[in-house]
Amino acid sequence: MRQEPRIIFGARHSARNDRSALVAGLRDVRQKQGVGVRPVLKLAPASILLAAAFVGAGVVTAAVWISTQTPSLGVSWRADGERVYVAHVRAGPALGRLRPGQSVTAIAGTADSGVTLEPVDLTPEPDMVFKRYSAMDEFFERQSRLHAALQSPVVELLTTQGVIQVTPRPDRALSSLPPVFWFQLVCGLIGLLAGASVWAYRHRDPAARYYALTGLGLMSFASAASVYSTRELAIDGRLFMGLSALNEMGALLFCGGLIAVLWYYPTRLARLPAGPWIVGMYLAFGLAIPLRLHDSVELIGHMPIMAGYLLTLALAAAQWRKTRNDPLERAALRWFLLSWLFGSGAFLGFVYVPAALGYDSGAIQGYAFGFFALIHVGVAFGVLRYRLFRLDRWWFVAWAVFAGGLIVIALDLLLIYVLSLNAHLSLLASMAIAGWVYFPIRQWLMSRVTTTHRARSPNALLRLVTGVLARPEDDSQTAWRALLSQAFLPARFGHAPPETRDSVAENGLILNVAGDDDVPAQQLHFCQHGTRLFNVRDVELLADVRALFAELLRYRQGLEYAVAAERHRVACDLHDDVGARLLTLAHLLDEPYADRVRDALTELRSVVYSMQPHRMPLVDALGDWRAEVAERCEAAGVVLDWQTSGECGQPGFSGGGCLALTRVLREAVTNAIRHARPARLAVMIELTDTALACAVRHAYAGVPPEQWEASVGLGSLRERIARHGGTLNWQLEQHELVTRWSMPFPPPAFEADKGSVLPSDAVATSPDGRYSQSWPEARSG
Amino acid sequence: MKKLNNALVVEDLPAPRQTFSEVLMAAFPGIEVRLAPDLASAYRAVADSAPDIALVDLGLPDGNGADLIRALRQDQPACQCVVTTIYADDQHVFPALRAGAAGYLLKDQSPARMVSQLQGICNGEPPLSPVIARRLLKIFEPEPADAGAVQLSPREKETLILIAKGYRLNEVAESMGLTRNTAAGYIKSVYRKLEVSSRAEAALAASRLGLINRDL
Repeated sequence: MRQEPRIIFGARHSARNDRSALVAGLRDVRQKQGVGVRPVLKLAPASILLAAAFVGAGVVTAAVWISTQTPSLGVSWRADGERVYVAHVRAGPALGRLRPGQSVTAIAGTADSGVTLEPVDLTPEPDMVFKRYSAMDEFFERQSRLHAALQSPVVELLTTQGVIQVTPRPDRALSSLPPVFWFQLVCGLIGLLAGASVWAYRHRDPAARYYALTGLGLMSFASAASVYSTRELAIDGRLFMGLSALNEMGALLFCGGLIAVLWYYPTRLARLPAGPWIVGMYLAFGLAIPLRLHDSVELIGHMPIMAGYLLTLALAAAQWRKTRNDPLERAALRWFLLSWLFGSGAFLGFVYVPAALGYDSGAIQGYAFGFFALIHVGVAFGVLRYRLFRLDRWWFVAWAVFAGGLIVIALDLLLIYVLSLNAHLSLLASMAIAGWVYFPIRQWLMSRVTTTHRARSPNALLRLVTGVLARPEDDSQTAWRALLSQAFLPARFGHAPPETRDSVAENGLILNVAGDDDVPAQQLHFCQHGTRLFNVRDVELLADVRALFAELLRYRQGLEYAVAAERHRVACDLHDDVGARLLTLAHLLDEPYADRVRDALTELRSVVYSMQPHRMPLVDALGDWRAEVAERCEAAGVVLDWQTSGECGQPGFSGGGCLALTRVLREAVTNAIRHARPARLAVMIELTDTALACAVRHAYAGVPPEQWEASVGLGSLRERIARHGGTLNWQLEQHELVTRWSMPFPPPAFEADKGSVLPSDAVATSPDGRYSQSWPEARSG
Repeated sequence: MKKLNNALVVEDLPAPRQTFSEVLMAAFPGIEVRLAPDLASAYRAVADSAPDIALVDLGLPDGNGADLIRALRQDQPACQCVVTTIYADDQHVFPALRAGAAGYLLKDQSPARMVSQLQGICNGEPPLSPVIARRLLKIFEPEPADAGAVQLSPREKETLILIAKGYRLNEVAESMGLTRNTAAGYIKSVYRKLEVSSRAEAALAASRLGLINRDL
């Protein structure tokens, strides 16, 4: 099913061919890879992000639900040596019955014999306290009994003042969840979303895959810990055990993931596919925890993490060596390592090391998770600065688009919440809020965020192509790229080999765009900023866009050619008819008449030059002006002081605009040399962001400008400058005559009625390439 | 400067033709001037006796003056060819400079100015203008694909850039800390390189057209 290479512009090809080419291409790739049809992930990056957002929302909801579904007394507990006491009593069942500072030694429900309360029952993080899983299981057992006691209708608390009876709430108030609960969830969310968003755009890259795994690990250990570390007194022991195991497994996953990342990033250290082995091994340690394969917490819980940390240091050193010849890769690695070593090092220093030395660091563990979130935030900044994971700034744009969508959803939920909260709000008021406040804001946001496919309808397509081609100073390459950018909204462009044909690649992440003589082949990455995948319809759309573009480009070139040909004819006629007669006159007449005829020829020359098809760059015009003025000053024995300031950009004035400027300069210099005969002449040309301002200044003893007779010449000069939006005036300043004129710069893009609109390269050959145009060379002389 | 004995003026308009003849006689006293209104008579005059200097119009009734310049450059390398033109832009003048013209004269200048310019050209003053300098810079722009191409030295390039910015030759010399002659020398060496590259281009074009058998 091979197709012959074809001329792309003008050759409209059918969508069917493209589709079969696509299928053939896919088959080719699979055969080359030597694999059967492998299950491939086919998801737009935005779908992956959305899925991650859903998972995150689910985890947060679950954590909140579990935390609030435990019975509570509204008491904050604290331990002091051997004693457990009440630190604070919130509004609730215990208010007025217990007071802060009161010790409680045991708790009993209605049906059980009671449990003594020990400081260890308050521990936020059991794996920082217990060295053996058997001891930890006893702790979970105690939690179960405490939880059971709290579930009974009335709880008896044994205090030094005797037994106090309290009726517990069957649930826990949302407001009683401490900030560290939310903080841990936020850390988890950051990890999950950061990992998912890197993976979404690079899901073929093993480094991105393992990086995403670390995010998943962070999400698991932080969210599990958020529930049990902030419990009021007790949760169900089996639940606690599960969450504790999830926490430890998450930590191991995080650690294994990071080792694997450093195996592959920035360069793969060896051919050995170490990633799956490393992660598999860490998962095995993780599974050993709930299965209680060994009793030592240190051996299966802490040791792999410490060893993993040392291993990452070794791998980092190896990567460091490997990237020694690539400063860019090394800069990226340095940033990644800085984030990682700082974040994980701080966590180890604040939590793990104290735990190993026998201090209970569980109380600060929740906030210490922030260090891990810091790693992921650091990596995001690394993307911005160092193209970490070979992502770039467009990644943030894609993120912004996605986040905008989430904000719209949040706005919807907020409206529902507000309306349901204010039950007494009248129907009319609700409608007013929805109609005048909510919907306008929502629609505005939607229009900023959503990118509907504008190019699908023929009219829209036409508008798009004509819009792109309306900028005459853009060459076809720039215009084509602008068109692709508007039609498909890719997150970025990539290079493609010249033989590339129109096709969808990487399961829809990339659209290959064929090149031709005019434009290079290229790739579009991530359709509509990554919110959807490219598909076969896009290949069809591409063919339509291409055909229309070629048609209109040909039309534009034809028009430009016709304009140029007509100008050429006029220039030749001017030369042959007017020029030859003036020349003969100049040679026949005596002075001063011959001199006047020469002036006329100079003007004729300027007019003909100004009819050349391209806009002369300003820097070139400045060169011509200077040469002319310098030559005339030299001939007249006048010292020239030529000053220019400002950056001359590429675009210049149209032929007409340039001619008007030249005329004024020439007139000012002529007048100075003929009438004022100064010793010095100063020319100042200043280019600002908005205008080109010129001034000619010289000593002057004649009639002040305001007393000049209204002459036709000066009036017409002023009018010509004004036609291009400029101004011209004369002033006497301290015995010096100053001629000032200025014109807006950069000039407007379209000046069809005033001068050239043609790009320099568009008129070199006729569109059909049959003959090339030469400027009036053949007939000159 | 070598003594010039024979001059040829090729120009279709009678009045300028007459002026050029007078200008030549004023610039080089004792010179013998022959006049030709078209290419055919110009070729006859050249065959008759070789000129030391030729003033050639470009747009002639029976062809382009640049062809005559190219032929003279090949057969009579000692002859100084000067283009006479109304337009001094690169589109008009440059092909003639490429063909080997030593300089150009604007036809509508005063006779006195033409005399001094002709004397300058024959003393080896290279043709200079910002337009031409820009064109030269563009021609010698190094193309990555073409490693063997003739290239400009940094000093030559600097000279051209200043000329393109509108500096006069003495200003160029002053700004570069050179004598006027040295600065002019840089321009002349650029023209020599232009001729080399023109010849290489011509050979390449000829071989592409099959005029030269590469197997030989």
